[in-house]
Amino acid sequence: MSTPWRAGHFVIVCALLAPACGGPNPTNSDGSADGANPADVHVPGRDLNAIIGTTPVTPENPGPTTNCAATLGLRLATTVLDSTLDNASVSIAATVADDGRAPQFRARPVIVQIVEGGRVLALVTRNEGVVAGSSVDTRWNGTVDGVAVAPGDYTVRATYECGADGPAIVREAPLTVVRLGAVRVTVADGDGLRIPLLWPRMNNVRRNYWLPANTRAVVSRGRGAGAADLVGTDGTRLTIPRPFADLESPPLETSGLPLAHDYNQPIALQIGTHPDVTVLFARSATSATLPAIRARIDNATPAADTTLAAITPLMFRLDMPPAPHFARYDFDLRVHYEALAEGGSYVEIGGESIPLRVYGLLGDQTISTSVTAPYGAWVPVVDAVTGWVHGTTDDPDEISGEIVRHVLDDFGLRYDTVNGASFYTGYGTSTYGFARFDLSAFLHRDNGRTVNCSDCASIVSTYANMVGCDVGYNILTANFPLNYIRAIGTTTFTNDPFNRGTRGGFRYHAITGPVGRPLTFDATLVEDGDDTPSAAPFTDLVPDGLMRSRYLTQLSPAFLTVTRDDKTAIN
Amino acid sequence: MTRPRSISLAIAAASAIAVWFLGAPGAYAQSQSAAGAALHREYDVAHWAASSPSRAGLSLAGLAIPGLQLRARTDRPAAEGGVRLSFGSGVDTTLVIQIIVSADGAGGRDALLGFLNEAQATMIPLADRQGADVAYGENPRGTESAAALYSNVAIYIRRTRDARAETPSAFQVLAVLRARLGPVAAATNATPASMRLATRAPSAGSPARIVDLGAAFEHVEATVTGGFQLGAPTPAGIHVVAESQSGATVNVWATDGWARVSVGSIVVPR
Repeated sequence: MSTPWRAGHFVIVCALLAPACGGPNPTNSDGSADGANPADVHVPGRDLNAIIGTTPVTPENPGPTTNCAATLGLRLATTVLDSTLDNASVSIAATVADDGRAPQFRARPVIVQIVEGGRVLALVTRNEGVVAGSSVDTRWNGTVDGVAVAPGDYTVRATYECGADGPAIVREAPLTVVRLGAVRVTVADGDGLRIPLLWPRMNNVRRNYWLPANTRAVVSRGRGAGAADLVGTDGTRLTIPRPFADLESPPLETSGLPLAHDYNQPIALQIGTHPDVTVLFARSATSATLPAIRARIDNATPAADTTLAAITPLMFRLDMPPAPHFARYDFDLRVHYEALAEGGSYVEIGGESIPLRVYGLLGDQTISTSVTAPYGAWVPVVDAVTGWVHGTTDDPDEISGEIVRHVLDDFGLRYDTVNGASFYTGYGTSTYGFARFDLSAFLHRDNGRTVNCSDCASIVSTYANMVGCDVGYNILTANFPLNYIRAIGTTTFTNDPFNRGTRGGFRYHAITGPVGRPLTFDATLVEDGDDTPSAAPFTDLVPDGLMRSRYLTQLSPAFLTVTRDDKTAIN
Repeated sequence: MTRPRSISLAIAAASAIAVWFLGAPGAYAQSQSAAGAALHREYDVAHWAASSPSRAGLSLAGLAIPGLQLRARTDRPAAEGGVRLSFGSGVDTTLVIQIIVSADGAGGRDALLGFLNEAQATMIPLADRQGADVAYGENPRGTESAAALYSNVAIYIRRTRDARAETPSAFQVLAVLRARLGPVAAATNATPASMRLATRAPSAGSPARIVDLGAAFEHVEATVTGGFQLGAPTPAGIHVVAESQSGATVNVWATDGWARVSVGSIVVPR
């Protein structure tokens, strides 16, 4: 949708007579008001209001004719400005030309100022000797002495001083200062899937799960006051908070509720998803001279007209998936604000970045069909696994293998060389079915760092299934002798893991593998990978995706029964 | 020793067949019962001493292990592992105690067998059972681990691999716990207190509704779906904020003075 161009908003050109001469046209590289000397800014000694008198000068009323033999034009790139946006400034051009009486033209000063309510607020620039046919090009970033001016209606005034040749030539243009910004962001499935994340220890209470609905805003700035939420009491822009740092609990209000305002909540997406991002924009009160303003997001396609009103929800489909691979991404949603300008085109007036943390996962958790807590993607797990894989693969078997290697090497876990007893996993009575994994306790190592095969199978399968792999646990029975192994957390190979003084065995052994396929993931132990697994020497063989047949061969000389292909429940 | 490749392949094929077979209907129950029977044979359950009279339970009030601090506690019903207490010194857990109080001796046996079933090594009868019906450890002394059954009360004690001299032996801890066994059930209330869950309005200004347990308990745990807790649950009540339109389901585990865990559930309206 386009908004009709309103002629006269952006270009005000007048022609007045003036003498002329040439001179440099300095502008400030940072776009700030020229003249660090406050005396210049506030012009106490050079009362330009006195020069032009008290009669308002408007485009319709170009002021008295002079003998300067010059014309003065004033052009703003746009008549709207939010000085608190990134790269915000208004481009101002004051153009001087002779009026055809060239011999009488003399170089004279051109002054650009900002006027509010008839009072000069800021001196933008003063160029002493401006020659005919030249332009004073400058910018104003909406600040005075480094402080952003308040939203409202302002006037940009250009003055060509005629000195003894007559009254100054003055041109003015309206400029509206506004506040623009995103105050809420929600993210929906788009063409893929947004995966619910679960924070498992809200307010440091064990098993106090927080599984926010996908309809909840992921970014919130301010307290629902619209444009007033965009700046603080000192006039500076309030930054959008960084994503939650705590992996176990959302930040809380003093009441104990999750922060309802001023937060940034990480999200998870199935890899390759182009999500629909709805941004609620706020804009400060309108002005009669306010041009149409629209929002644009890099690499995103809007669903509808993006013209902003005081409060405007706009939906965009991201053209580039924010999580193209299995990884943790921190990226900025880059918003550009554009105002309608001369000729019907839009000119960027500034922008802002919305930081987002996105976990790229294979899909929903596969542990349970339940969609209620505790069956979500637990943030501590998702954060760990995506950090390990870091976009190196999207293959579920390779991801499961990576999990095995990290559980084996990086968790500080030690095999229970006393009995091979479980510390975090339980089964149904006298069976190896209905396994339950106390993930909440494990994350804090409540029961210590000692583990057995059931625990390792629970950890590997749960971590894998939470990021969208489909891994079950299998049970090997019964009472079988061992070849040489190196148990988790130990440094030497042995076939007597319980130190009983003779070749040992396992009553049972729990392993994991992709459901229905003969691969093995086992973080409990490292096998001897050579042709004689029953004797030295030893070669590390990590079961990080071994064919089941190879795994069994290296583990034991016995015929092993493989049962179960189940999922481990969690709490 | 090197196993011939042909045998390895045969094993692999047989394993694959076993996996396939066990995926068939009926195989699941068959494997369950087979595992249970094997466990009974392994520990010669048929020759265990007859159960002694049932106990009220085991008192955990003020339980202290010298030199250690309680680091974590999880209470669940017997079928889900009972009461688990983790003790440690510094940052490491060095001692884990599990107590399951069942309704009767048969339940106690199941609980003890559950402990034994989870171990990859076969445990050995303790030389001194400390009055238990049966008791096992990693060796006859029960230095690192002890699993004992006092009728309907099953106790499992394990030192972790981080335990050093500051942590008493499993056998010593068993002695501490044995002294806390309740009287025979016939002499006291044999059943755990029943929860009568009810909600009440929040106190002024609080966004949470309060779930009352309706009976006296020593320890309470809860999880919430469709909402969350506004603080740690206590026997005085559980403060719940319902987020779901249909309300929040609150699952409660409450433990009485004899380590008996009751389970309840209630929906808290939004």
